[in-house]
Parts: sequence; structure tokens; C-alpha cells
Amino acid sequence: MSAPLLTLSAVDKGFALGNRQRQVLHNISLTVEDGAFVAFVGASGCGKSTLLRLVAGLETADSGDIILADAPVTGPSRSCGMIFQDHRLLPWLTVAENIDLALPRREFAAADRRRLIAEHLELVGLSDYANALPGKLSGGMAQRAAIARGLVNRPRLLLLDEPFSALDSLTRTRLQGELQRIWAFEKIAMLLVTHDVEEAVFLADRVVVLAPNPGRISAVIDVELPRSRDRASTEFVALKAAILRQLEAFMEAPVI
Amino acid sequence: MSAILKQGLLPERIAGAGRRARSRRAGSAIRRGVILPVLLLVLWQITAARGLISTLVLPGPVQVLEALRQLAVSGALAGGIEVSLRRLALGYGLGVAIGVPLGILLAVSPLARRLIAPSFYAIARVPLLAWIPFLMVLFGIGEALKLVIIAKASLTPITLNTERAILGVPKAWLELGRLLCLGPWPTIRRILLPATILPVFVGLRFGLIQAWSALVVVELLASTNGLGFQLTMSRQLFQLDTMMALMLVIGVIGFGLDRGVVTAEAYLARRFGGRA
Amino acid sequence: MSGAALAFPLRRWAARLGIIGLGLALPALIAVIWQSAAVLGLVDPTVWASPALVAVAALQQLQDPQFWSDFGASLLRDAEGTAIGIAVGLPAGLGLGLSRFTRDLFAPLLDAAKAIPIFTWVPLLSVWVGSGEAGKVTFIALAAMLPVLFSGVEGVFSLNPAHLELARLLRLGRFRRLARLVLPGAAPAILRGVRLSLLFGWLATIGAEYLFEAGGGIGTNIMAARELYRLDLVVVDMIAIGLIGILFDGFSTLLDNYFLRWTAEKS
Repeated sequence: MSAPLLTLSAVDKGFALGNRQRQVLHNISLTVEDGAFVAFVGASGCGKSTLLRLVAGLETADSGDIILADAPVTGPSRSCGMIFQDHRLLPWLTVAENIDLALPRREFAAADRRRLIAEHLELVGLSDYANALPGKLSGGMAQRAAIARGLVNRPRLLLLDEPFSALDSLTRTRLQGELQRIWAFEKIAMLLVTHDVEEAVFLADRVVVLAPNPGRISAVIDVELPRSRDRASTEFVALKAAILRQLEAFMEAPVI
Repeated sequence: MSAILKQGLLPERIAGAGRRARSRRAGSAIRRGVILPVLLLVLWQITAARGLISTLVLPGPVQVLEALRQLAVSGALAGGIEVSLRRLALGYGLGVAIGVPLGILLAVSPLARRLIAPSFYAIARVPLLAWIPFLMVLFGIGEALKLVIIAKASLTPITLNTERAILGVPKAWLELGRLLCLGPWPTIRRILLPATILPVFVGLRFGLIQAWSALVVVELLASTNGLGFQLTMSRQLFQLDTMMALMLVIGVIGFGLDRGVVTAEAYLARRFGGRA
Repeated sequence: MSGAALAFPLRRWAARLGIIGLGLALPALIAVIWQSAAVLGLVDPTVWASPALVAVAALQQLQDPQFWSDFGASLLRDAEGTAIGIAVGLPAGLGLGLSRFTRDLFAPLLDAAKAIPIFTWVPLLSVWVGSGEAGKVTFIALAAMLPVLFSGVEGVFSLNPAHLELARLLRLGRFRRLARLVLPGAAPAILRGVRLSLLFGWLATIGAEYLFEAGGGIGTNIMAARELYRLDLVVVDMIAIGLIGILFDGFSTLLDNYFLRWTAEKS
């Protein structure tokens, strides 16, 4: 068995918030294999986003190791792409130009870039919108463009920080299906942070439940249902309920 | 706070969001800000003391301060300041006295707007500097000229901002006044005044800055007293140290006026709250 | 039936004329009073030049090659000074803005520069650079430099931090970050600064021509006309100065429309 793609060992992270030091993540240990889909769920404040940002290299851990593709994470790298809740498309660049931004200048010739951009536009179903400005796109389409940008330089790991929570529920459901299709096609590992338990169960191989204050792993639940998953099936509903029960243990009010 | 964390803003916006951290940052900002001026001051003094550049052309800071002291002691400084500030007060006062009512009129009456606005804009479009020779022919180079110029300088921003302030009152609030059956005077006092006072004040602030600039220009061009005149005079007499001292005074007054207005604006903002 | 159909477009035209008419009413009134007062000898015609005289003088000036050469000299001076001012001020502003450290370092100096009325510098510059062309162009450059410097700093400061973080994530090189992120993001503020720079440069040109004696230009002309009490020439020059201001403003709007095309796109 080859080395896992991503290893977190005893990762701690705190922030100075106001006049106090706040421990956001405590003793996070986790491994992720190539091509795996891992979802993180938890209430607000349990450090899910921070965890993703640590893996992306946007923040540094206070202690512990993060090893991605056999190298410690010291900053943003080629191996890792990230999608944010707000699509972060630059409003003055077309969709194609936005995707192009992710391709390092020197590593790709012009013809290769064009090909890669076209391929990924087709992957997310935006081939007709290559020259559109982000202002003309709906939320769902913009997020799809962001996904294309995240995948275009073939990272080994894609991080998604609540990518669909700003969208209406119909679009969200549709994009969840899209993401699953893309994941199956690209065979790329994905880490998804979401507060939507159903989304986690629908998409992931493993659901990691985080407890808040400080953020720590409270449970890891494997989802072994075959894809594409039926949200109404008894197994699905049972898994979802199990995870919700885990979450409820940390909340004052029941989660619906 | 967790919402901020979720959106993943830059760490420097999260770490140190508290008051102590902010004042710590402000403290270091002030410390950094002092470096350059102090450095320049020291360089300046060394250059002058060593005679690297002729003190005729660049008098040292000590010389300038000495010239300032002499100006103060001889009363010339006080005289100049008094003349200039008096002109400013009169001209600016005139500008406010005309500008605010004019702005209100233009906002409130469509007829007045159609009648007056085109002419007003045409007049405002021609820069003040271009008006000066015209007004010099009409008014000579006496006090009246200066008053008119300073008044005109402050008039444009004040009128425009006042008009915009009133037109900018959300219709929803006026409707609320009607719903609550407030009479005209209570409506003005409790809705219009608080709603417009801040933007009007912005206009007053710009007007003051323009007035001060206009004052300096007109005193450079066509005056026999005041700070601007003293500045020109010291240039003619090649008294660079006096000249730089006067530049310092003019700058400090301008800065002080602006700071004063900003403080008043901050007070009003606290008193009348942030607008929707 | 046909009468009513005719009346509607007529009424619309009458309404349009009415609006324009009202706007012209005040100037027309003043012109009439002015002209009558001059004709009736109520005021000294040599001082209060009647509108008719102004119109005549305007036509004369437009045909006078000296007028155009002086106008051209002013514009050339303005172009030189403004170009230098923007070329220095804009990169400086962007550079200062990009790092909090430099921003803090220069903050008090910039605040001080903002507080000093620009014309205060004229006597000093006339000593250091002389009161000839060099002095004028230096003053114009200074006047044009400040707005674009401040707007550069402000533009960088106003960049969306989410975008800056994206640049970090995508590991964008410095040049690419500048071209694709900083400049377009700061463009609204920068363009506002450029608009002011163009205006202040022109004002500084006229002012420099007032205060520095030598050299030809429209500012020198207007002052000369004043000394001769030729109000008609003064008015003609005033209008010329104002028109250039309007031209610059229109040009700035064109720049806005070009560089900020993307802001118009909203779905």
C-alpha cells in the first residue's frame, strides 16, 4: 500500500481573537488516500475552514505536521486546489481568463493552456460561457467556473470550503450531482467542508465529525454505499441520522 | 467571529481584531510614521549645517525656526494670520450663507432647478482661477475681490452637497413622516435635519478646504497684506527662511482647519448615527 | 382626431423647448440687462463690456493665430507637466499602497502634503527651479502628481482581500498579480485620481502662468487683458479655459467607460 496522499499529525492551531488566545483546532490527526472523498461536518466555530486553510497552506499550524504528496506543507502548492464559498472569480476577467489564472505561466505553452481550459470548461458544462464575464453568471455557474479553475492544473487534492452553501437548494442539489460526476471522472482526492450533513453523506467516502471549542475530531463515519446514492434509501437516512446524533451531542438545540 | 473565520479573510484581519491589538498596531504605525519625518529633518539640518547646499537656497530647520520666531516676535505673523483668517471667515461665511439656502432651493423646487441650475453649472465649470481676472476687472483688487473669490470657492461644493444631501433623503423616511402625521416643522427637525446634516457637513468641509486654497491664491496674486502676500514678499526679498516659515504656518493652519472640521464631523456622526 | 395626433408630438417638443428655455432664461436675462446697461451708458462700457463686444472679441480671437499659438503653448506645458506628474505619482502611489509598512512610513508626509494648498509651493519652486518654463512645468507636475499618488494608495488599499488571498493560493507571480489583480482592482480609484490630476494640472498651468511672469500662454494673456481692462478678451479666455476643463473631464469619462467596462456587466 502506497503512502497516503495527505497526513495530518497532532495538528494544533490557535488565533488571537480580541485579547485572548482561542484554540481553534486541537490534536487533529487524519490520513487521506489518493482519490478519496472526505467530508468534514460540524457546527460553526469548530474550525472546519481553518483545517482546510492549513492543508492549503494559507495558514501555518502552531504544532503538528501536515504532509501532502510526501512533502510538508509550507505554503500554497501545485498539489492542492481550493474552492471557496464565494466563487472568487475576478470580475474583470472572462471565465476562460479566470481559469487561465491557475495555470503557471512558464509551465504551459499557449496551445496546452487553451486545450486544458477548453477541457475543463466542458467538464463543468460551461463551454458556451468561455468569454462571459462573471457578472453575467448565476451563482451556480460561477461556482462551476471556480471548480474548473481549481482542477485545471491537475492538483492531487481539491479542497472545497462550503462551496454550495451560498446557493439556493435546487442549484445546490444539482451541483452536488455535478461534483460527484467530476470526482468520479477526474479521480482526484477531495476534502469537503460543509454544514449540510446530507451533502456530506451523498458525496463522501468518509465523514469526519468535528466538535467545537476547541475543534477536534469526535467521530469518523465511513459511508460505504455505492454511488450514485439515493437520498431516500434507508441506509442513507440511517447514516445521516447517526451523524446528526453525533453533532447534536455538542449543541444545545436539536439539529433538524 | 466564526463567520469571519469561515470566509477565510486574511489572518491580519482576524488576529488582532480586539481593541488592545488595534491600539498596539496603531502605536507601531505611529512609531513607523515618525521615522521618515525625523530622518528628513536630521538630513536637512546636516545639509544646512555642513553648507552642502547654500543656505540662500535651502536654509536649515534651525534658521527657519529662527525666522518664525522673529515673525512672531515682531507681530508680523499675528498680523498676517489675523488678516488671512478674517478674510477666510468672511468669505467662507458668505459662501455658506448663500450656498446652503441655494442648495436647499435647488433640491426642493424643480422650477428653481430648471431656472438656476444650468447657469450655476456653467459658472461652476469655469475654474475659479479663470474667474479671478474677470473679477479683478469688476472689483479691483480690494477686499471685495477677495471676499467674492473665497465665497465663490466655497459656494460650489457647499451648494452641490447640500442639494445632493436633500435629494438623497430616502423617500421611505419622508413617507414615514407622512404616515406618522408629523407636521412640517417636526418633519424637518426629526427626519430631514438628522438625515442631511452629515452630507451637508461634507460639503462644508470641502468648501472650507477650497476657501483656504483660494485665499492663498488670491493673496499671492492680488493682495497687500495677509499670509500669501507675506509669502510673495519674502520671495521677492529672497528671504528663504522667512518664506519657509510662512509655508509652515500656512500648512499648519490648513491642516488645523481640516482636522477641526473632521472632529466636528465625527461628533455629528456619533450624534446623528450612521445613515442607512 | 388628427388634431389630437398632431398635438402630442408638438406638446412634447414644446415641453423640451420649455425646459431648455427655462435654463436659458436666467443667462438671457442677465445678458439683456448687461447689454442694455452698456448701450444706455448706465455703466462704463470699457469696464463692463457688453455681451455683443464679447462675441465680437471671441470671433476676432478665433481668427488670430497668436491666440492659437498661446493656447497651444499652454496646452503643451500642461501636457508635459501632467505627464511627468502622473508617470511619477501613479507607480509611487501603487508602490506605497502595496505594503502596510511603507504606507505607515509615508503617512504623515502624505497627510502634510495634502494639507498644504498647492499654490503655496510656487514661491519656493520659483527659487529652486526658476520662474521660467522649468519652474512652471515642475509646479504643474507637482499638482498633477498628488491626486494620482493618493488614489494609487487608496486603490491598492481598497483591493478585495479575498482576491489577494486567491493570488496567494494560485501562487501568482508578481507581474501577473499586478496586471491581472492589482491594476484592474484598483482601477476605479486610480481613474478618479487621473481625473483630478488632469484637472489640477490644467489649473496649475493657468496659475503658473499667472504667477510666473515670463513665457506665453493663455494665463498670461488673460492677465494682460485684465490689465488693459479688456473684459471682452478676459471672457473669451475664461471660456477657453473652462472648455479645456470640460474636455479633460469628458476624456476622463471615456477612460472610465473603457477601463471599467466590466462593471457594467451585471446579470
